[in-house]
Amino acid sequence: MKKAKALNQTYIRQWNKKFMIINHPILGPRDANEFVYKGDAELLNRPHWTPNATKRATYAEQEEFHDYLYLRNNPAGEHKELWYHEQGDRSWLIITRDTLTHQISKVELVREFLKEKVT
Amino acid sequence: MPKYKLKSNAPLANHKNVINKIKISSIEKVELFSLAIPIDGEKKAKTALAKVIKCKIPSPGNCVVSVEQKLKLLRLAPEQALLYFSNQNLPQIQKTLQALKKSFYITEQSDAWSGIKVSGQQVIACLERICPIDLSYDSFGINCFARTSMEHLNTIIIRNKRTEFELFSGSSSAKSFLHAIETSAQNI
Repeated sequence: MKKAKALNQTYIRQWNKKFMIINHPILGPRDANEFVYKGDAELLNRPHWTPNATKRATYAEQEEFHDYLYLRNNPAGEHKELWYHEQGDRSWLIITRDTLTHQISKVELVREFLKEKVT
Repeated sequence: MPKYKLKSNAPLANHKNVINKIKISSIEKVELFSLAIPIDGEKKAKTALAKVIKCKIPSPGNCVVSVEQKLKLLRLAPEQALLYFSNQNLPQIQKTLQALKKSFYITEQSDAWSGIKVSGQQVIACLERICPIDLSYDSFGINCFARTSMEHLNTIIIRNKRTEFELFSGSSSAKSFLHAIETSAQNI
């Protein structure tokens, strides 16, 4: 019984993966196969750490950069992710996706997100 | 003197085939150029296109056609477009590119792509098996185009007529792409 349930879950996961549609902000609904997952959208929040020959990074700065590089929240639920439209217009997107159901609640362009961040 | 002479050859070399009443033929004698719009250069690009091609720059995902100059302009992305000449009138092409040179970064792409024309009453039945785009006439009309993937190969699909499409994919994988289309036509 457990085995059958596990197989069923695998089937549902494969089905969701096969038919996942991403609503591109410019090009409209597109098959997820055109996109490549590029990781947690937190990667956009790179710490301002610029070591050089005269100034070494403080311990706090090193810690902050370590956390940025290696630590991920990995939530079971809503998650902001970076996706790249490799087989399309080569745009970078921030997709808010529920990791439990694959449901996508928001799709935005990284360029727009960064413009807002700068202004 | 070199012992061998090299001859250029198109990847699909004038291929023509009819499967289940679907005509599949390679597209020869087209010239493709990539136009990249410099940062903050959209205004200048618009002016240049209006002057040279006498058309408005299309929004990303859209295409304009100039019947007079036998060309299509496909806006692939916010900062990139593909200029497609369906003839090989080289003096005219050179003149057009020369006039656009100051407003775009231009790269020659003709050798990188290989084109296949697919037509016939059953063309949708053939393409819908391998193309993830909604090809229904209401959502993908004449002169609509999309950059997508078919059988894991990067593809540009353009609708010329209700039952005629042009497909462009990488020339290095042209034969695999042709095989995928012909297999799909056989499976109708």
